[in-house]
Amino acid sequence: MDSFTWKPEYSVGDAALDGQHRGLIGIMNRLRTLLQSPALAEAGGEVEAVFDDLARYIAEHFAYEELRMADAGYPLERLAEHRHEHDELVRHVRSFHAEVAEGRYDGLQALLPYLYGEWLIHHICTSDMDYRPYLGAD
Amino acid sequence: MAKSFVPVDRGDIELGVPLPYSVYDRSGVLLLKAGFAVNLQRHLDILLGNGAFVEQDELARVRAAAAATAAGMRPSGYGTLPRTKLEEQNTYELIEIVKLRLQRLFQHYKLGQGKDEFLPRIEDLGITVQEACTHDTDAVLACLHLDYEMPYEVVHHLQAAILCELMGKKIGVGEDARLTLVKAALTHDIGLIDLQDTLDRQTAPLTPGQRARIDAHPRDSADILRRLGVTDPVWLDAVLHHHERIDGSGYPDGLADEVIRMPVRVLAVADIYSAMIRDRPYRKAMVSRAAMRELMLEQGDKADQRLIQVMIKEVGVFPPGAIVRLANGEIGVVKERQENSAYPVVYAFVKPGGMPMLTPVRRETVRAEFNVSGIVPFSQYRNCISLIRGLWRGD
Repeated sequence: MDSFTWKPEYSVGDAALDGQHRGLIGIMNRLRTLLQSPALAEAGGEVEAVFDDLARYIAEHFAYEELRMADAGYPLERLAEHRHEHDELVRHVRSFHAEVAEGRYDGLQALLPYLYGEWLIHHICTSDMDYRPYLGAD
Repeated sequence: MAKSFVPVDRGDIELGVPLPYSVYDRSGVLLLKAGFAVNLQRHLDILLGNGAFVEQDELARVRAAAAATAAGMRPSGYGTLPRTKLEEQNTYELIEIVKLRLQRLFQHYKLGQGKDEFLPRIEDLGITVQEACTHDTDAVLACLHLDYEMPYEVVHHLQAAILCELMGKKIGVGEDARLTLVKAALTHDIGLIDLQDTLDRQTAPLTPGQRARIDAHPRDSADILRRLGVTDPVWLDAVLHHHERIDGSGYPDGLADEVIRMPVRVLAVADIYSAMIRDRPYRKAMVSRAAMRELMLEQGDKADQRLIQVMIKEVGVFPPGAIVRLANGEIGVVKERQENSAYPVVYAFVKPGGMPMLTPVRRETVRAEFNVSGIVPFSQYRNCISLIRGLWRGD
């Protein structure tokens, strides 16, 4: 599996937000390397560090993005939906975390496709693009 | 393509049973999400009386699902709606919707639009506040406490309305009379809301013109409400006199003692407290405990002491949504009030070293290592809001 790299089509037209989104790609790569290690169950601390990274990413990024959207005049109802989508992402990642905490490492195998498919491709490349025009990027 | 709406069939909504679909008003504004259980008959009456609508596509889906479920069991049945699978929508989310609706109502009002709709919408919002408080008071209080983006006027009016409902219930005010009080709270500063955006940003002292507007706002607010069609004397009196103080130092009429009636006193206490706990341009918000201390000490002769005690008892020293530091150095959020208000249920979301936790952990604050050692302003941790608000979203 190749490592994930940032692509221009991921850009929402705001340097700070793009910088934060790049952080997610960094986490995905860290997880990818971890999944390739032979004794996953023994890498407990490393595994926990990936979830810590995700927590830090969420804290750094979601509230900032929501405020930025509100300031840019993004419609209120759509902002509420976006916020809901954030909450769903958090909820899902937590369920992976809970599985791993119980020693079910299959959860970790499924986390990477989740981060790629739901978070990067669906959320960032689709939902986030909806606010791009409001930031004055286009 | 624009969504199309049809009126709700009264038979689809049953008291205490989660709604089978989301309900909108006549202009397509979301009122209640699918899954919310209406518990109050008056809420249902007002909802249907003001016009409740369902999105046509959603209705078709729900009917089809109901027909499919019923097909095996009741061959002739058009089908009752599939209720058992519905999860109840949570109260935190309902208050988020109420905030949006109030914000939009005030925006329309400022633009001079929708004057005929104003009072029915306030009525509906008022009863929804009452409904939410019957479901989950902790979630209602937390949703207001953890707000970080709504304009002051929205949060302030809503906070006052919730406190009026809670205090009113505690001192034995009946449901109908409480609704009047809640509606008064939702509209008590309407005479100022066109100025509020400016005041929100202004750090310079008030201009003489602004000072005059503030002095006149109780009377202006009552006049505006009268013009919008309010005739209820209790509503108008509460708005007109919510700045009167028991020692006679208030305005506009300098009333004192028993002349200030109970609904007015309740609104005054709710107004003072909810103004204290929000950031203003000219001062930082007080954490709830400091606000309560100030209420007791400095407002002691001015506001009704008994009501202040009732409010403190209702909201708690550590209200839901308050951010607290624990003895072990963790930062947590108060999730539920407890009988002994010193030991609320707290979920830690930041480790002692300052790292956020992906999954907040429940802490029993009665244990020495998890004792609450102090309140921290929410503004310091609002970046963690996405990690916190899931606690009330049924995770």
